[in-house]
Amino acid sequence: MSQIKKKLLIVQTKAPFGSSDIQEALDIVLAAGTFDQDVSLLIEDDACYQLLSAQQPEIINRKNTTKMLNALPIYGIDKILVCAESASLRNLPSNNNDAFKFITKNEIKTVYSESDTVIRF
Amino acid sequence: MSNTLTSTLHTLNKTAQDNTLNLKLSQVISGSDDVILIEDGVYQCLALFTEHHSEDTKHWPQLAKTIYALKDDALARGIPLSTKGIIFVTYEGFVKLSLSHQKVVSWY
Repeated sequence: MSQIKKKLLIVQTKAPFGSSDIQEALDIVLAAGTFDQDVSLLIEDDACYQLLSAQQPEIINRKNTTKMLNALPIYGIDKILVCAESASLRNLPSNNNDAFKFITKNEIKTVYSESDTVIRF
Repeated sequence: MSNTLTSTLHTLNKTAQDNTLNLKLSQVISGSDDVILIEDGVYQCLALFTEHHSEDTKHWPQLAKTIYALKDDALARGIPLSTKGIIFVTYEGFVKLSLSHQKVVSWY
């Protein structure tokens, strides 16, 4: 059976703990990674609040989604993109580091057009 | 406690990017009213006095008498408790605030 490989783009747009959207997006990313798909995760708008350090979500009985983001490369997902404009608008650090690649609006446009499937949360 | 019994406590649980909600609050808030930021509302601590909606309506942080934020929600989201201009309160403090105001209005 021939393998069908698709370029999949998952977009997070909501703040991490106000809804389950961030968690659900991560679930799809991990599932797609398991099936060896070409998956990218794009973090936009309020989802950029995941970049804040010193989060202690256990206080409100939630999982630390930022820790999960940092673990994604272990599951073969190394394309974690962040909208640089969204981050700077929220006074969040917008420098490239090992885990995240900060991209411009134009680059985001390219990422959207090059993907076979886009799922926004 | 009794001197605030004529004023309103506004609870706000959305980020600054929810323009409609923040603008509505700015339009109805009185100078004797207090605001408490809860849930995703605590992200507003990061840029409370820099957001502007429109020329003719003042942004609610400039109008509110006191701005509170729920401590547990702030800690969970990585908001520093040293943020200036905001009083961080516990759940118990939130209950006390609810009782010391004439009414509570929820913005969500």
